[in-house]
Amino acid sequence: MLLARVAAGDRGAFGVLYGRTSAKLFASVCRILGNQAAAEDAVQEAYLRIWNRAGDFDAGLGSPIAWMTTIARHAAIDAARRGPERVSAASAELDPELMDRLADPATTGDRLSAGPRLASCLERLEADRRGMVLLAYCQGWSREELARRFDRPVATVKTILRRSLMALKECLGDRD
Amino acid sequence: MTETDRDDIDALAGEYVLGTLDADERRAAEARLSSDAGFRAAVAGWLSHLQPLADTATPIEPPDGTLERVLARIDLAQGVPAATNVVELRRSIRRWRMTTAIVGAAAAALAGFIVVDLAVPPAEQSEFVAVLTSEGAAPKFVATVDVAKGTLSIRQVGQETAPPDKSYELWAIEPGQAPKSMGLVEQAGLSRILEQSPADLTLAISLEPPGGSPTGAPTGPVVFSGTLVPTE
Repeated sequence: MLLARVAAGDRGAFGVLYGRTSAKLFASVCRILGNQAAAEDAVQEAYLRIWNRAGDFDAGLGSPIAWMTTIARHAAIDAARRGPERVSAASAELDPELMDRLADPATTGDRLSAGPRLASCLERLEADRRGMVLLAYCQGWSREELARRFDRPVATVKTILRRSLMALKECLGDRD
Repeated sequence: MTETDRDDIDALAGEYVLGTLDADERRAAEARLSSDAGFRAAVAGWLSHLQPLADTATPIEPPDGTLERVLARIDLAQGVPAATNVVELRRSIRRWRMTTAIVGAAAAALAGFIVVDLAVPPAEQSEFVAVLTSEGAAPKFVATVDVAKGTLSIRQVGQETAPPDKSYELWAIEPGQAPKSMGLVEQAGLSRILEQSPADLTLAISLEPPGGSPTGAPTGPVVFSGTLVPTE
């Protein structure tokens, strides 16, 4: 497996891994960071972390790309949190076509049902709750930013996020 | 394990993947990831559940040279012999290590800053480099001065991030002068016109409230510092 070879310090394997995954990871990073220079730096940081942490990955964590995506999103989120809050910025609005793309089986490739299933469970959440989950995942919003955008205390946002996640899990689990 | 514990673990794992944990919480979660099989399984579940949202982002190729820059950063972190584009830097780091070893004992504190009393030849150098570090630790930022252009650029080489409620602010300190702010250092780095002479100039990064020092002088602790030296 590529990541195991990367963990052993194999730069050739790292290059192959980069070639296969960088467009996908950069897409997630760019969606969180509007600024091109910051996105370029964050994707470098992401691959640096992947190199350093490749040994932490094993098949028990699922697919390598999901794990790598999370590392990249976290690197982008770290960069975003060092900048100004983005609540009033244009990025405050979600891509209106996001839910449509999620519901389209073609989007998730070989895991055909995963996207539509998640879409239908997200649709069951009340609109504000769905918005919080989507802004957090896709645009890297912090609890504090969500609190300002939705005019709720930070502690309430945390509770709402966790309840929404539990509702999602129950919904997704119901159909296993 | 009670159902509530189970839910707590799942909620924490979910927030970890979602990205809404603060820096301390995320660090704690990552430590737990390697020691707690139940938590690891919960994270695996969320990675899989939420990945379709990542699939909705249209792929974008990063700019050419990104992989090479990552490899250069790996080299830098590992201290292995340089790739060509970082030769200058590496030489500077060696030089910095030497001079630091020599004058370390002579370091004097001025207004809370570590000011290294370094004899810099007054030659017409085209480039100066400083490695900013905290005492004895690995380099965290590298600053370069292009004398012809009169610019100073600083880039991060470590993974250090400012605490979520703080900003890194860069200061230039001429011998015997008050620190002058050079602006906030974001992850993407910083480029500024340098008004001071780079010879003998000390650079320091302090932890400041978000957006920078409200007073125009450093108010927080200096976390990294270094002195500009000419590259050969």
